[in-house]
Amino acid sequence: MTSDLSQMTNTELKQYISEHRNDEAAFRAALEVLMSRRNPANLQPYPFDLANPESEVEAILKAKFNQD
Amino acid sequence: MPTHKQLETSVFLCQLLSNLYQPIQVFRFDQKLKTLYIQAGREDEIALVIDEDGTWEFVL
Repeated sequence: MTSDLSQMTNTELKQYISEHRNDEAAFRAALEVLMSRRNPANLQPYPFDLANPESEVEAILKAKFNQD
Repeated sequence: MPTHKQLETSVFLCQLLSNLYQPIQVFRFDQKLKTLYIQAGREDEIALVIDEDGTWEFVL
C-alpha cells in the first residue's frame, strides 16, 4: 500500500486522505508521504510570534488560494 | 494530545479559513507523528500540518 501511495500525485493523496479519514493506518501512511514532500523553506512561524498574526497569516492563506 | 501551541495555531488557522469562507474538510491529530493535519478549501486546495512547536506549513 505504501509503495502505491508514493506513486500518487498530491491531488490523489488528498483524495485518499479524505476517503480514509477514519482509517488510522491508511491516513498515517498517506500523511507520511505528504510530509516527505515538504519543503523546509515553506515553514511558517508560530503565528503569535508575529507582530500582526491575523493580517500576516491571512495574506499567506489568500496567496495560497489564489495560486491554485 | 496536541501541545498548547499546536492547539492555538490550529484554532487560529481554522478561524482565518472561516473568515475566507473556506470549508475545513479534514481535521486530524496523528498520535504517532504528533502533527495536526488540516485539509481545507472548496476543492481541497490546501493541506497543512502544524508541528508541536506551533509552527506550520503547507504540505501541498
